[in-house]
Amino acid sequence: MKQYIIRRLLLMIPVFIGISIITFALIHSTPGDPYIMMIDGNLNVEDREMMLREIGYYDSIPVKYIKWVSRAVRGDLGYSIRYREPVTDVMLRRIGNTLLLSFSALLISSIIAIPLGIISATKQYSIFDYIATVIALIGVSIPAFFFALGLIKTLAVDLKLFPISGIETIGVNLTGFKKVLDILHHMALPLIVLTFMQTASLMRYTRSAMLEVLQQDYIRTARAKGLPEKAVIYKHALRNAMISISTLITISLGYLLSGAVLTETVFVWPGMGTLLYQAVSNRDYPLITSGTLLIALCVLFANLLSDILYAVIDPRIRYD
Amino acid sequence: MDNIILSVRRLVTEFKTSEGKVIAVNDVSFDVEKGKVLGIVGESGCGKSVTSLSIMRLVPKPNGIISNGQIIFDNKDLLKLDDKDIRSIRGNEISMIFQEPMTALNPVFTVGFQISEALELHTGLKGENVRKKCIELLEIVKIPRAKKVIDEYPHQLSGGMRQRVMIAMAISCNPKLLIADEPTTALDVTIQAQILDLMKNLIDELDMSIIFITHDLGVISEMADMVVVMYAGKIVEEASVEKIFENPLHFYTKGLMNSRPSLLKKGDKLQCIQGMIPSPFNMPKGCAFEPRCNYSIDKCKVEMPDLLECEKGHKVRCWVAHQKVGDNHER
Repeated sequence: MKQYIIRRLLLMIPVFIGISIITFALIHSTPGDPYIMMIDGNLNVEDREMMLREIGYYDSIPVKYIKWVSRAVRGDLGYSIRYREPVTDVMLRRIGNTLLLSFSALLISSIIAIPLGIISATKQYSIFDYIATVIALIGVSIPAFFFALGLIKTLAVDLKLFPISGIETIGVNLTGFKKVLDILHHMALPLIVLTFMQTASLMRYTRSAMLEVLQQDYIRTARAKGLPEKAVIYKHALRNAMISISTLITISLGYLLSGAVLTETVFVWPGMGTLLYQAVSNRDYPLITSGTLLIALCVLFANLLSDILYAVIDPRIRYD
Repeated sequence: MDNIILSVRRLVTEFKTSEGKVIAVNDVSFDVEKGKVLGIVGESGCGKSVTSLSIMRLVPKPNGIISNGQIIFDNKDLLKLDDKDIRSIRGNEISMIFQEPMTALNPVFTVGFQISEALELHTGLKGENVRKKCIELLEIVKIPRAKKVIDEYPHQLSGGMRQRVMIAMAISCNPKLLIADEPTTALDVTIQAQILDLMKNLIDELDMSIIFITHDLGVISEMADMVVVMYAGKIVEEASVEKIFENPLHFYTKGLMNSRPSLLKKGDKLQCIQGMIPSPFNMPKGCAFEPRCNYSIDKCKVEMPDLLECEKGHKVRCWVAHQKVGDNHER
């Protein structure tokens, strides 16, 4: 197992290099000159040209890439055009907020969705099942930004229960427990959106995974042993259903860590999603490149995690 | 009646489907004697497996319903027990072996765990004692290296070994009745013989009764004491194994006997019964076998015959057979 993980980690290196080449090339092939904003407008044309040449604007993409890589391996991801500070600093400030939001959403939705999915499957075609599946269908069909705007209109603007956007009240300097409460208050709406959508898809998935497992011969064997229905469902069936459920959870982990761009943007949650959105609209090349690659890295690790979980849950899979 | 362990009376099991109600088991009655093997024979879809699942009360819910009848086991009507009581009988006093050893074991738990579950539940054994008993059981069913196999997962075992594990699981709590639902159908011939040998030894050693369900008459002749032949949800013939093989009375049973390949010389054409089992949605008005029967008389088309005793201990559901007996009596 240890060997397998090491092998997989080594294998991630060429994959990651490939991803970085493609993203880098794509981003740098987009037309436009973002550096115009960095350079004093009063400068004469010759000086401007000289500065652009100096920062490498006229280099070919391969040369740009090699320059970027040689700096990146030394921990220098470049300088954000928009924020006028190192990309690493900008991202480090934001990533914590995204981790907070995404892990909370993943945790809460798993706690809600898996039991609901199990009950829905064991009581298939009951009233509970109908209500749960209809709500889940709404959850997977409704666009995130629309749902978010709906919540802002009703809960934030009309009822004034929650703040509209941001992560903390601006202009007030809170400390300690009060600060935590303030952040939670701001987090509520984006968390509701992400949790609802994640719960909906996870619940549907759990339901269908359980329905499939409950058809299996070994469930009949478990019942024939005289096991109580609880043991049949929560031990024999759920353990098998978890094999596929765990995949969905880890895959959505990759998605959530990328900052669930739309949701973060609508609520102006200062996380990776909002950052990336702004970077794209400002053509902040260094920031887009690093942000995209960070997402790619998250997805790669989420996939690795899902493969490891597979082996942990399913004894038929051995990676020796 | 003291020597009767299980008595099924007028059992009716139905399934609701989108096209309507299907009667899978239609008014079936039989007895299983203590220490004896009852064979149930019939082709696919005749209601053999549903009969056995009905006894265990494992007919898939909510579509399967046992709508009539009694199943008397140990002076209790199993159909009247609540869920808790039937669970204390399942796997304990009545246990079951299934057709597909490849899928009947849970792939994510070790063999030992799956056997010990039933033991812990019904015998109250704990810890090391359960493990010892498990190894003992695996040795009884002749699994080599039982001490290692106990910690292995089903996918590490062959089909024959898995069926042995299933048998070990089924006999773990010394059941009074074992229901074996086509236990050898999915295995290849050499393994079949081994499993049948094992089961025969177990019958002698453990003093239990068995309901042996199969469509293989060879297996029946080897294993069973009494035979019930089912067709389209009904019993069509019932007799001791000797009588069934010496003098089958129902044309369906005769057809089954004649279609055994072992009767043929090399190069002969295989005999078979013409036609198909009737659709459960469109049962013939009279005898269900009439459309496939070469000897049918007018009466067969309009009225279903009863299951009547033609000779002592030999019941048959066939107008032609009944008529012959009638003729004999008149003479």
